[in-house]
Amino acid sequence: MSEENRREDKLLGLFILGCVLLLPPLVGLASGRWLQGWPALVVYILLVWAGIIAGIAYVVERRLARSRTDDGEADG
Amino acid sequence: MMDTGLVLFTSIAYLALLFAIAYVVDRTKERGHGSTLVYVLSIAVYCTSWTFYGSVGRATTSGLGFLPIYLGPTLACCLGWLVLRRILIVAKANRITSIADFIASRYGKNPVIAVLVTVIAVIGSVPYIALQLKAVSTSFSILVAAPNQLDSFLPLPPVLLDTALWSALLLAVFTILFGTRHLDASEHHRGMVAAIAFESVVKLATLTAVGLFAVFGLFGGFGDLFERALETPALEQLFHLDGIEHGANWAGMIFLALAAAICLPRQFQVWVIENRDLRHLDRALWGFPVYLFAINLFVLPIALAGLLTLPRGSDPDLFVLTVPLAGGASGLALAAFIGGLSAATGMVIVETVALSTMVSNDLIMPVLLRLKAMRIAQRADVTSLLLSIRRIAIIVIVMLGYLYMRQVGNAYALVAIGLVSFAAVAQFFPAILLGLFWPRANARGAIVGITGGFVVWLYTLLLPSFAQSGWLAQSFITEGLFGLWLLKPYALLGLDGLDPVTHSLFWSMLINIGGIVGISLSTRQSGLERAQAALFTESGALQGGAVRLWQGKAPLKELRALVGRFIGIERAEAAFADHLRRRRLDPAGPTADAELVRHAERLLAGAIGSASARVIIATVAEEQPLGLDDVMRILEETSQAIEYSRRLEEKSRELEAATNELRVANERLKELDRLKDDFVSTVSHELRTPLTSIRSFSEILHDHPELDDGQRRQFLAIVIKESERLTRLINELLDLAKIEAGGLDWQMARVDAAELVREAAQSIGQLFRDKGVVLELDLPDNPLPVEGDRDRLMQVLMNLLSNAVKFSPAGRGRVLLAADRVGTQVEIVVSDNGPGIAARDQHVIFERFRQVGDTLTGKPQGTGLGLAISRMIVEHHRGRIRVVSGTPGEGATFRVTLPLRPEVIAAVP
Repeated sequence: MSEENRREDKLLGLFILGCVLLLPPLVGLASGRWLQGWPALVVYILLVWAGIIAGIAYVVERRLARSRTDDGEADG
Repeated sequence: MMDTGLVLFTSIAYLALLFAIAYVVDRTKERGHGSTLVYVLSIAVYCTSWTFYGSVGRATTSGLGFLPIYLGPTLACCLGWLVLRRILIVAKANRITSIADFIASRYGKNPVIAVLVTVIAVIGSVPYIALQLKAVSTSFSILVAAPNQLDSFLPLPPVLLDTALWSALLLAVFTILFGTRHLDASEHHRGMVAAIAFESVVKLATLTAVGLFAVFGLFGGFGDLFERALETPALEQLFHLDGIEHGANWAGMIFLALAAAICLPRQFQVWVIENRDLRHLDRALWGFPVYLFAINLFVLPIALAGLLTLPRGSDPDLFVLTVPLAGGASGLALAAFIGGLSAATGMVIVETVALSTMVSNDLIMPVLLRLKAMRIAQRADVTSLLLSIRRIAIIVIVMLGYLYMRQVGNAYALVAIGLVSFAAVAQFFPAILLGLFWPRANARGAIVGITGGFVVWLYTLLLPSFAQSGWLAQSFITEGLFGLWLLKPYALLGLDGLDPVTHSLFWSMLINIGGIVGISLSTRQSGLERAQAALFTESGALQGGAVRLWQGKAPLKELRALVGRFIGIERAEAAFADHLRRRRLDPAGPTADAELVRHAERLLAGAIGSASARVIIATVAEEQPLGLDDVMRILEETSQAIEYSRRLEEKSRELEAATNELRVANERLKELDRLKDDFVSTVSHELRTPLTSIRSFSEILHDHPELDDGQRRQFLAIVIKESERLTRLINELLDLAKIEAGGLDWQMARVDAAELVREAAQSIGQLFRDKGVVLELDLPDNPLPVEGDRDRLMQVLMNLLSNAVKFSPAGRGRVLLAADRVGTQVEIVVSDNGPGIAARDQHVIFERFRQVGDTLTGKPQGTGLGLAISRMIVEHHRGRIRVVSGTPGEGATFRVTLPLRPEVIAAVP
């Protein structure tokens, strides 16, 4: 159970991190700036977004992988 | 301009393909739990034509302002395990059929809440459905209109020629065919879900194709596009996101989308109701955001391309079509139209299925059931009635959407309508979230909160949207109700600067959450509410543990017939038989117990929702209402059971310990028994040896009177000596027995150990001199007072000394006798230079009849009881006796320690 809670907490941490990065004032920092012809705001948001998704995928997939090996051991 | 026939044909062909997919999937035999991918793609029904067309439109005015609608769901996925997973587990365990059912179940299966949620969901969704129909019809008209027609301000066609009407009817038919085929809503609409998943692929593919065309067909890649945008000041503004108001709107939008991603009736339908395996959720938590990410990548580029290439005044909500059209790619435009059609149909189908379930289960059925005249519960077959209700509900809802579109829709941008719907369903979010984590949240609080939030939404969003469409006077918005500026719908109490949606969200959430929390804190829960709250919030419920809270019973036959009317006789029979078999109950028994009644209620709930199921079950079951006392009693029973089990565990541990002790004791007894046998046989042997000798010599003396005196005297001496030995042996045996039995009379007194040692040396001195062994004395000048029996202690010393002299070599033997104080003890040492005692024998010499050296000399030199008796005497004095012997041949040292008398310890530190 505690292991389950720990993973739940990881996703919750990701949620808080996402809120901080995607809400003002941080998100406004990139406003109106340009990086070599690319709008910084767009680049920033897309990168953070992709990062959060990757984070969720990492936490979830590790759990899936672990539960599969657990099942395998139980079967074997 | 494209050929109307071609567009029509393509659309019809595409819808036919959807029918085919749904049909085939429905027909194929169900295997396993379905695919995760289909589940993920079906959740993408979140992206409607509002995403497909509307995002681009919003991007043209607010830059990245469309993104929060998709960032919100991504953050919702971060809460997936915390919130969604809980909802899924609870919903599965209770056979929840809709979001109204879920919230009502949580708050004690309260029918008022079910109705409230249903009504809000319908009112909130109708504009949204209207939006989809509008998107279909305008996109159709754009595609077949003159090429220079780039906006959607077309005159409304006559009703019968309106493509929106026909597409609405077509969608209603599709929904009826695949959404209401059978009754148990928990049985999932596999065909429909497969079709929706397919549509999600089409949406993504076509929008991406248009995006690629815009970026690489019309411009030289992203860099070129952004460069051109940067040069245009109006476009450069789109990449700004500053100011407090902007920030508040942005944050409000993210929260709104987060709530909507869970609370929209169709999202709840695909997330929860259509979920066939809890494990699918895990992968959907990142699969769904990936889809959202992908479908939004090209929104901004298409918006920029449209703004840069199309003439001023073009409708940005249709850029997805007009950009390829103006670029000469009419095939791509047709594909984009199909993509938009996918987005619209997917939304309408799932939304109406979800809404029709709610309307039939939570709105119509409870009313019908309460109408005694209808005698619903007594009807032979309610299944067809239920299905008819749902079918009618579907048609009515779609038609409401159509009407709304005809009357209001044209005036309002796509995005605005969508957000109005979002804000309506967001009113469910506090009730769900608090319901899952706060056991005290109660039905009254939920009713007040949801109603309050809904009224605020109505006043600050829906009514103003009517005003904007001309249904109400504009002054309602500009001057407020009755001309009171405090009541301006977009600036309530003078709060202005926020956009209308964020403004409405703030006030409605304030009232909503405040209502739930405030009322829940100040009112009490009923027993059933408490039970349901526990079921939803406690982790015990999450593991599927059934809580025994319903008390009552019902006639089995009636119950089975009742359930049969709603879900079909055969399925009811099968479900009952299965349940009875699992619990090993008699299928012919007269009454159903509480658990079976609950099972029946769950079966019914799967078909008609929990609130209705409860009403129906109540018609046959004698339910004892669950009062506070009952809940307390059940709690008590539970805690008693826990206490009993704890005590049982304790007892079993104690028993185990006792068993171990008994086993050890038994071993010890067996050992003692063996020792006793040994002892008896040893004693007999020891007694017989001198007896034999006495008897032999007596016989000789008796039979041979001619023996001379010398010989006679010699033999008599032997007889006397052996008799003495026998006497000594018997004395020692008696001593031993007495000590062991505790029957010895101990004369305890103050004894000076040094004095004792000196006396012992004197009285045994002759023996040493006879054998030529030197006895060295080493005694302190002070007395060494101990508490003891003088004679017994003397016996110990004599025994040790006689042993020492016995084993010392004649002529050159040396024995050291010493006594001294060591700490709080007196230590007496007897040390010889005899053969010593081998290490393995050192612990056995204190046992009875164990003599070291017997086997060597062949002749016993003592009784073998001396050391055993000595040990007992010493131990009786709370002292210790032990032997130290180094290498063989270097002698043995016996040490006796006795405690000093207490007053001596105190006096001399």
